[in-house]
Amino acid sequence: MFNFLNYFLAVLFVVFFAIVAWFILNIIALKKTD
Amino acid sequence: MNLALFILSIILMIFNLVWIVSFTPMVFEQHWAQKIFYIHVPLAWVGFLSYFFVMLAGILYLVSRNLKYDRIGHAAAEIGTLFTGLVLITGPIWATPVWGKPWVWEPRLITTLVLFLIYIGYFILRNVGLYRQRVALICAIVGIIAFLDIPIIFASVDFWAADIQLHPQRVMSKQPSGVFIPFLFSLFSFTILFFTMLFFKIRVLYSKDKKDNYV
Repeated sequence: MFNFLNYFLAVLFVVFFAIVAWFILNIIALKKTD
Repeated sequence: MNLALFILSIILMIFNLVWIVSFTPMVFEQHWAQKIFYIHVPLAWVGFLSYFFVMLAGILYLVSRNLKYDRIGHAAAEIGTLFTGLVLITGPIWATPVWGKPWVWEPRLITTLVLFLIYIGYFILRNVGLYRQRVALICAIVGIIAFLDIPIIFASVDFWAADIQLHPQRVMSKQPSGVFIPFLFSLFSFTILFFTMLFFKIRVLYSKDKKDNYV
């Protein structure tokens, strides 16, 4: 049965990786200024 | 980074995810797609909250001319733009199975897209190479003016008749408690995440200003 689970997982994937990428980029930026 | 706040937001997010996946009711017609609601709406809320901070920091900068407020505004604008961008990505993912098409040109979607584009312009302004105080002044003014779009987004569902719009109206109070309580918890979790990111970004910008001898 098609239950739209893949759409929900796509949202989780996008949000998770966007926020993690933001943290990584800012940690790198902080390291450069220290 | 405020480590305690960071750990708290991770714990809240894990708890939030488990609650959304395992303990929220399945809505018959949308099934799993409805659960996007617990992520999409808090993302929009954090986006608006960020832009409120940008506006507030803009006013304080204009009054005090202290670069501290510019850093707060810059940090909040970056987080707001990230989250508004995520709203514009998660919205079409949700809309594809439910509306049958990812994007419809109707008031709420257009006003949100306009808000996102205004802040893209805000970051272009930040990087055109003006001197530091000049950038801070212009961005403070843009941040205050851009906030005017937020009440328009809220009111946008009233611009046209409800029956010709696809985007839901303001109906949260009519949601059953099985949906409403986890939704409130998700709002809370994302708000804590926002403050974690805000304090961290302010710290990054402070270090950068210190390196460039502005502090």
